[in-house]
Amino acid sequence: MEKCWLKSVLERGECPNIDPDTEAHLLNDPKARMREKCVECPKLMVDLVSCEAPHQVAMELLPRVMGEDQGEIQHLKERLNQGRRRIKALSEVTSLIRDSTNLDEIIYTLLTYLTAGDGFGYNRAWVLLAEEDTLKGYWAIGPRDHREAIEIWRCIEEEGCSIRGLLQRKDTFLRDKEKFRPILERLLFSLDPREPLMRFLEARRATLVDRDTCPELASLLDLLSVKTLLVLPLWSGEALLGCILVDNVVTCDPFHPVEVRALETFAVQAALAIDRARLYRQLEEKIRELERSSWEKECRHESITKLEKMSAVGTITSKMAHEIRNPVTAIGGLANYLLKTGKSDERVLRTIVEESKRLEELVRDLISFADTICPSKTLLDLRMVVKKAVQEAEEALEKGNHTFRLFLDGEPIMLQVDPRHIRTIVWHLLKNAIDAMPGGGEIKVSLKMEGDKALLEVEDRGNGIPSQMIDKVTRPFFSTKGGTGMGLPICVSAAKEYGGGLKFSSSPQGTVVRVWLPLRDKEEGKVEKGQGNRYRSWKEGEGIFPGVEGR
Amino acid sequence: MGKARLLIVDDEESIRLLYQQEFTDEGYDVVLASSGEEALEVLDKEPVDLVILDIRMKEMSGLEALQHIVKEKKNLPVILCSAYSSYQDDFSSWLADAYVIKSSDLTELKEEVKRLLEKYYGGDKA
Repeated sequence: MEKCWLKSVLERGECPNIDPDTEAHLLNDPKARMREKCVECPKLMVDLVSCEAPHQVAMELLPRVMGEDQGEIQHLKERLNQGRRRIKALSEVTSLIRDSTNLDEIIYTLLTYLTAGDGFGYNRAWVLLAEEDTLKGYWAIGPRDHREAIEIWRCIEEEGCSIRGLLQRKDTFLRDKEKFRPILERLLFSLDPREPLMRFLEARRATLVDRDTCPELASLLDLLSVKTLLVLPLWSGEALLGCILVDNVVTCDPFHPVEVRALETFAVQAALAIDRARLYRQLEEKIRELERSSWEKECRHESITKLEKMSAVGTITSKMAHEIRNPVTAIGGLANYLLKTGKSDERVLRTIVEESKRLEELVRDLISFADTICPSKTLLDLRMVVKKAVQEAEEALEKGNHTFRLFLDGEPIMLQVDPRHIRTIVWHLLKNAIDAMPGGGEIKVSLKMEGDKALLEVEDRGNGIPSQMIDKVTRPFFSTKGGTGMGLPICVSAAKEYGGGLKFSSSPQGTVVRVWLPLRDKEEGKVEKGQGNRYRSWKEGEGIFPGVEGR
Repeated sequence: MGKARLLIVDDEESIRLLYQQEFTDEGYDVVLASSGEEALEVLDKEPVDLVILDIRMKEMSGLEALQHIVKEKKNLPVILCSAYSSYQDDFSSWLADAYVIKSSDLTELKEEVKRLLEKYYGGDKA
């Protein structure tokens, strides 16, 4: 009687170890039956022991069992190796996308991993990204057809490219994007929850789509010319970033359930990387916007400042023109009168001369004002600039019985300054001081550092400025002395050019005008601080220049 | 025909000198005032046939003085004479009989003086 463990087919109930309901397939599969049941069945051991050459029988049986296991083991080994390669590739890809903030770089890295032999090895992969209320095709990798697939895979095999090697071939990715453009442009879906694709994306898991199970996605399958498609949603928190579609359009290989689960894990990493890159892109755009806005704001501010200055210039120029008219009228009219009458009237001639001087002052002030609008700054020691300005004023102004006493800080005060500004300020302040003391007297000029400012002071011993006029003296054309009325406004304008200003301190005993100029930082000009109030008095035995006696 | 008396009101001494020389040579009596207040004082004390009034003066402006003159002295012609052309747009300047822009050429001013004297006094004043 043939041993049951040798039979190819067993009848139901013939083997007590086989459940006829759940293991009926073993009745017709002797190899599987041997591996799963017979090797553990005591009847096999009994039969082997009772046969004449048990070891021979066992040896004959062994390959039948071991041969299948070997095949299975070999298959498992291959799958294990493939799994190891895939893990290694995944590690490479993860490190690449972890450090990248470039969306395109991340996308084609992900697509390469999905289609490379060392990766998941699918034929094609597509990325769709969410933008406002639509899902749009963004990139795709893979062959269009069988012939192209053969060509591509042959090249890759010949070159022995790893994933890293594949990622170097950036021109290929761009070509792929262009190649699939007609399809990508048609991959356009609404993010409306009623959209068929959205149902699968909302599930937040990888879904195998085919015509039988998902007839509502037939149009998508047609577009990609596939029968089966794997849909991988990409979510970041509550935000849908997009999805990845993978297909095996050429090989038509099935999607293994284990791989599908692995893809879901991969999709999580992919979504994080894409989200980071998109945020980075948005941040870059915001920064560019801010820079543009800031630049525009600066331009607008500059424009406004220029317009304000021009407006001020326009106003001042208009007033200046009117101020010039009076002396011009007098000079011209009186000269005409003399010409007409042939008279030689000393009073008339003197008036012509005086009005001419007045015009000269006006023109000088106009030029000074223009200089304040268009400065030309250089890094200079402010002490030297003030010293020179005082010297020039001393030579040009009619001092009478006035003496200038100059005090300069012992340390250099370096500042980006237009010397014309300082000259103008010193000139007008000294002139005012002279006018304030018609009988003569001492005028003190000092320059020192005070905290973060350079402070220039001009002090006289005149009768002071009445309190009700203090606010008016810096108004253009306000004058109590018959002057142009532009001196102090020009000083204010010049000081403001440096972010500084003027302050008055006046009493019946005299007036101190303080001009303060903020110090600049290292980028604009090195400023060296003075050490306390170590003044060098000009009056002590010398003039402004060594060897010139002070008066 | 009597000599017309002109009141020249201007805070600029050079202008007062110019107008005084020119109008005296034209045969007019000239009275000078350096401010609006001074002008009103003169008008209170002595007869004047025509006023040549500067606008931009310290303290009381010419326009303010004009309003006083028009209110208190009926039928007294006033010529506003200014270096500023913009005051022509100020309606209060319309109270004056004429508005002349200051110039070294006094032709226009002189013609206005003649015209207004003729208008107000016929041939009695020149």
